[in-house]
Amino acid sequence: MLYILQKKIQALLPYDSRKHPSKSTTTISHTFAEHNTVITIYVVGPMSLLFLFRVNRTLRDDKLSQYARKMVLIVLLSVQYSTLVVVRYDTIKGFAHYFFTAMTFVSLLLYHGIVSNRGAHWMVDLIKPMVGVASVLLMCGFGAMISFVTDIRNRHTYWTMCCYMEILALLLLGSLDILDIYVLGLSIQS
Amino acid sequence: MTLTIKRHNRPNQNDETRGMDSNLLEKHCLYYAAILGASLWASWITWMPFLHVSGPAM
Repeated sequence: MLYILQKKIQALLPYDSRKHPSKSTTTISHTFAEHNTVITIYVVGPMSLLFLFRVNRTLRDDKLSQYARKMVLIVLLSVQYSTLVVVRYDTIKGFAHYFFTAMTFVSLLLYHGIVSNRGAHWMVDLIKPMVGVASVLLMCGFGAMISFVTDIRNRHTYWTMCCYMEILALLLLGSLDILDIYVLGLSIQS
Repeated sequence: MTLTIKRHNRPNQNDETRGMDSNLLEKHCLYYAAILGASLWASWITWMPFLHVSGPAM
C-alpha cells in the first residue's frame, strides 16, 4: 500500500528524486534558507497586499467592537513581523523558527475566526470551518512527521509526503483568504 | 452665512471611474489587489519547494 502511494506521489514529480537526491522536494522552510534573498524580496508583495485586504475587512466588520478591532489589527501586524522572522530561516533556526511559524499560523486562524464575512453566504460559512480544520490537521501531521519520524530526510516516501502536507496546509490556509475575496466579489456584484 | 459645497466630477477622471461610487471603487481596488496578493502567495508556496526538482532557476 505504502509502495503504491510512494509511486503515485513520485509520479507527480518531474522525475524520480531517488536518482537525483540533491534535487528532491524540500520543505518550504528549507527553501527560505537556500533562496533567502529572492524570497525576502518576493514575499513583500503578497504580504503587503493581503495585509491591506485583511485590515480593510477588520475595519469594515460592524459586528466587531472597537476593542476587538484594535486587537485584531495588532494580531495582523504581528503576523507581518513573524512571517519575516519565519522567512529568515538562514539565520533564525531551531526553536525560534518553530515558535514563530506556529505563531503566524495560529494568528491567521485567530483572525479568520474573529472577523466575520461582510455578507453572509451559506456556502462560504460551510466551507470555511472545514478548510480551517483540514489546514490545522495537515499542519499537525507535518509537525508530527518532522518531529517523530527518525532520519526523515533519507526516507523519500515520508519526506515527500511531509512536504506535500506542508504545502497543502498552507494552501488551505491561504484559501480562507480566497473565500473572503470571493465574498467581496459577490458584494461588488450585488 | 451658509456655505454650500457642490460635488462635481473631476475633469481628469477617466471613463471607467466616472460616476462610480467611491465605496464601489474602493471595493474594486481591494478586490484586484487581494487577488494579486493571493496569486503571488499561492505561486510562492507551490513553486519554491520544487526549485530543486525543476532545476536551477535562480
